[in-house]
Amino acid sequence: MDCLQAREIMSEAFDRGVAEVPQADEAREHCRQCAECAAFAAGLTSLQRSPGPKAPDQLVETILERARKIAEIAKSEGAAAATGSPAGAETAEAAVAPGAAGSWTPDAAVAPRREPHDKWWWGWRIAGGLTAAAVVLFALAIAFQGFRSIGARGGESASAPAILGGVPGANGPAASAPATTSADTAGRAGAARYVSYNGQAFVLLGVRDPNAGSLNSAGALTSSLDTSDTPKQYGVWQSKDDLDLIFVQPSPDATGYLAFRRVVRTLGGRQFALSAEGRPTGYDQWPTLPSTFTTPTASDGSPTFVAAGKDDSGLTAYAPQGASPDAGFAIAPATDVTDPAAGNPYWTWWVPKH
Amino acid sequence: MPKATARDSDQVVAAARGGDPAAFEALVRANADAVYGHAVRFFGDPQTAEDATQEVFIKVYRSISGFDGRSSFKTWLFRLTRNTCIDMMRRAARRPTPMDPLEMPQPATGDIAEDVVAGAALEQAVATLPPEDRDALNAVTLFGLSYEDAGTALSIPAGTVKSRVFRARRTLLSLLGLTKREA
Repeated sequence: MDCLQAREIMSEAFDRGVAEVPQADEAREHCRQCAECAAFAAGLTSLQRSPGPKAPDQLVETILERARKIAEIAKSEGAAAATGSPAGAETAEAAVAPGAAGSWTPDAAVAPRREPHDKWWWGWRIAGGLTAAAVVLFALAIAFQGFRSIGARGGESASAPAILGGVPGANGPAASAPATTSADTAGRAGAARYVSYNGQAFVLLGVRDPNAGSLNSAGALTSSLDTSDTPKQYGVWQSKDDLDLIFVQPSPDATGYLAFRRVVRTLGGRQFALSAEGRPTGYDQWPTLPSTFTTPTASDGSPTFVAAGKDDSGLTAYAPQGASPDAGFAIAPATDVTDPAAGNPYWTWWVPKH
Repeated sequence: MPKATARDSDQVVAAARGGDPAAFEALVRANADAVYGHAVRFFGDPQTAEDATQEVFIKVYRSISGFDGRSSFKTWLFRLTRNTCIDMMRRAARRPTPMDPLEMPQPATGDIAEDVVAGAALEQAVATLPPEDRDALNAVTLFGLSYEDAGTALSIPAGTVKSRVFRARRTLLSLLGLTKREA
């Protein structure tokens, strides 16, 4: 037995136990005659005894407190939705899911909590409040005035996308907030903001001003964006660093780009993208199943699909009878608020990312 | 590096699936160090690691009712933790903090378990590992997975897990000066 073999066996014996490794005795004998391997064995013992990273005590309490709040919300919303929600609303997961409650509302209990000792804590809270207020104003503005009237800037046509036109929550606070904030609010306030690019769905993040040198020209997509005009083609730029991130310039004189992120989920460690074949151009329409599938009539996916496993978040993936989910799978409506397709009231189809 | 405790027995997991808050609390307390440990080694930043740990356990809370037990809870949790960290990095453009092995403090004694400085040195050494080796090491030593379960979670053969764990340990011991390099 050489030194490399002996060390590999010792490492394995630490994990499986000496009794489970047939050559452990031989490796031990080797160590008696080899000072370097004996030092290696002693080092393994030291590593084994090292305590490793320890979670702060307060972190556990924070997690438990958040879980309690989610349970409270589930309880209250479950009662409120009792008349119209599906049977699954009896679980906490379903009760906080947007589809079950009817509409998604910002949930303070869901956001990561900062402890008071964090010097930015109050700053984040105030910024968060302002962002939430801006989002509410944005939603109200859309509801009562319509996209076109809000979006017009001086010198721009009335059909220029509203998101670029001085709308609170676009060029205001939400635009400079973390990407997930603006995406969440835009995507879950009842009208999702999707574009289809290469047959896959990308959700709006907000207005960005990327460095031109960090982008590659990547063809075009067709959308009406947030206008009521006939859909037209827009040039697409793709981030060189992040192929899931694309940018669209709504008009030549626009001061910023609309940033969109590919909607993905993982199954078996592989990434799958949300298919947009069902809604090729709709900006404010949820992606649905491709037309080749009949929409299931039952919550178990029948008669179109059967349960074919779980994705990496534990959600059931459905596939056509006899087919592997590796080639594509469906997800049932009304997923959790943390889900990449949260809020979608329809069955969705997920394809291997390309 | 001790393995996580075995409190997340099948009964506790089953109780948590049934909505028992005490069982969920037991799962959090039993696995917080492992989840946080993976996250802090992934991001190199304790605050981001805390955010990731919260996100992981909230996902557990919401989705454990759908956990079907086809893999062990620990395997599922490890995969969820790993994917959450990767997703957070992608979403917020967070980048793991790189570590230069040449900047590592050397342990003051030969036993890192008895030396706080050396304990920190160990974590810094772990940060220098290639991600695939670090993932395998975390799966086995933090989450207590067998090579077979770690292989399932990482979609690689068990033999590859064993090789990566060995390679990680050999690198760590070398960086920490606890053994001579391979000739």
